[in-house]
Amino acid sequence: MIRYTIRRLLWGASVILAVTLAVFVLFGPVLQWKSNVEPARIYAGKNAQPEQIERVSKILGLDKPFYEQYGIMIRRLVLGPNQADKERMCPNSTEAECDELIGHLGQSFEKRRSVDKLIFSRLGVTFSLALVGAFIWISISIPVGVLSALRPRSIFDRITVVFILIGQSLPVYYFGLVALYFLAYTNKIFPPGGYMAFQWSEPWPWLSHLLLPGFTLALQFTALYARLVRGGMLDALGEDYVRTARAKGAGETRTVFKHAFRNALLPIVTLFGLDIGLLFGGAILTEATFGLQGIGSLSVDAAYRFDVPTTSGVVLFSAICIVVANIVVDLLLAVVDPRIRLD
Amino acid sequence: MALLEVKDLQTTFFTDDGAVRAVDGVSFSVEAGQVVGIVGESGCGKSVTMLSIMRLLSARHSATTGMASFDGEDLLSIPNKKMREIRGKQISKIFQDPMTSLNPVYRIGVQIVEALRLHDKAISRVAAFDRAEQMLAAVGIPSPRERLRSYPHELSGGMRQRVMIAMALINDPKVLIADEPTTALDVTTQAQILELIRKLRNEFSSAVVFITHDLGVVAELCDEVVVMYAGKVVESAPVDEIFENPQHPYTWGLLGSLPGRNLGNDRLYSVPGSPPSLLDPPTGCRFMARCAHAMSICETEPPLEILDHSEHAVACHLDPGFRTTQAIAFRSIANRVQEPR
Repeated sequence: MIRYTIRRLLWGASVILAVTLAVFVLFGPVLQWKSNVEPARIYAGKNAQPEQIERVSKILGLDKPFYEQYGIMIRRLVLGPNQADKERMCPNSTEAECDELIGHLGQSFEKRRSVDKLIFSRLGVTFSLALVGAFIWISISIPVGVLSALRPRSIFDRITVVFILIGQSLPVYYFGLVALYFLAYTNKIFPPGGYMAFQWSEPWPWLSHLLLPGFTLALQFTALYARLVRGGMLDALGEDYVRTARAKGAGETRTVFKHAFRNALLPIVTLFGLDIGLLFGGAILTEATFGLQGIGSLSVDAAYRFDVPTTSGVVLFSAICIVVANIVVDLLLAVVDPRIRLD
Repeated sequence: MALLEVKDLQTTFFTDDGAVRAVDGVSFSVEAGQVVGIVGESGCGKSVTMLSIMRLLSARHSATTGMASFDGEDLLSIPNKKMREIRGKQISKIFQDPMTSLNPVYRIGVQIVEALRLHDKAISRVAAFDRAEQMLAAVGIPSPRERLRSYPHELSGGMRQRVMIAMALINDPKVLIADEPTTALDVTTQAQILELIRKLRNEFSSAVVFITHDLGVVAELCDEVVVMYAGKVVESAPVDEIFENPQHPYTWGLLGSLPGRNLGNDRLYSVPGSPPSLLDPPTGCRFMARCAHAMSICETEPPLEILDHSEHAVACHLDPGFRTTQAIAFRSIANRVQEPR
């Protein structure tokens, strides 16, 4: 198990390294060669003089050869900005001010703030949305999927299948807007958008702001997961070991949950980890529909404004989320499924 | 009265193409301690018969009628709860494929102990695991204490079938149903498992219903034989009678296709043709289309069904005298098959 864990961690680190290379190539050389948006020109502003652009190039380190730029990017990603970075980016600031201005992921062109801090300030929204959404889709899809697998072709199952189809084909922005119109505008049940930070003393404002977006986000996932749970349960219930359990004298509940469900759960665990990892990188459509200032809207804004460090920072952050989620899932699966540990 | 008595059992599957009567009027009985072989080719309904008796078929897709009395109770009409108490405790089953019959995510020990504790709520965990260890030892698994902690994928097919047998016998059932327990195993393992079943049969007093298509196994293991064809019993008799005085043309075909008889011949004999579709079974004798001795009556009249199992019974229109002369021709085979191998 320890060797397995170490192997997974090494694998994760090499994936992240590969992503950094891809991010660097896309946002560095490709951007500078293949488009008319030179980062230095964007940073310097619309009416900048050539000498100003050149100075900015020096500050950002864009005058150095690419391999050196990549080396600096990796060093900064792992160790944080060093003294030279700080002197270039924030020559006249104190240490604390400088931390606000530049971080592991560099400095935003647009906001002139550390990309780390920018992402960190959006984490609460994005994580809350992902967790509330995940809670909703898991707590609906699993019972629904199991029940319809237990009674295939029953009325309940047929209705479920229809709802799965609807849920999977309704676009998030459409469902979100309709929900907003009826539940926040004509009937003022929920707030029309925005976010309130979570507080232990009063969790309701936080939750009420997240219920509509959570449901909207969960809609497609609910449909997908219900379909997967249904299929997995149908398969598992047809397995020989389920018949063995019945032949031993196990009751229906025990057979279904102890023997079939645990096996049906294995692919769901994998997928859930990946989806959560993906959502921690931001849910762009849902955030846009409900005016949530999460990582998704951060990345959209940054992309519109050619804010290269922020965009590449969000991409890296999302990649790290997915890799970490993958590792967690792999370790979790090894606990649930004994067959995985050996290889 | 027999321990397990099946009368006129009929099992119908509802398929998209129509109703298929996979078991059509099967009757036989098993006495305490007896080994009964159910023989027939694939699809003849031998497995379905036993699954029906244990009520392990989906009630949504199939229906079973008739009577299956076990220890004075009709298995087909008792409530589910009562049936669950019988399953695994009084009647237990070994399945064909040990590779898929054990749950891959639970340890062997947990699965064996489950069989025990489902029927004995009072037994402690420790005692249950001790008992499971004894059972693993009894079925010939080395270092049973460690093996309890193994997962199914860590064991070979033969070992897994031993685990299945241990699980089936842990409650000392009155009837053990072995549904082709050696089919999925290689030949040397097959012999070991058969030897094990024979040995355990003496230690545990269970009656055994042995489903197989291997007449060689029948000759070695069984007391009584029930030959099935296309959902019906065509012949049933004590094992010596089947080999020395086979009465049904299908039984002749089965005996004729045993490999031992054809030493020196190039091709193995096989019964020509294939079984009829059960979606639309023939009105007369179901074996007629493949029978070398078919007569005109076979086409219109089904032969009398076998209801009485006290002695040698056969469902065939052929003249008994003719059948006896044919049977003599097979005695030599019987001698060869029953030689110890």
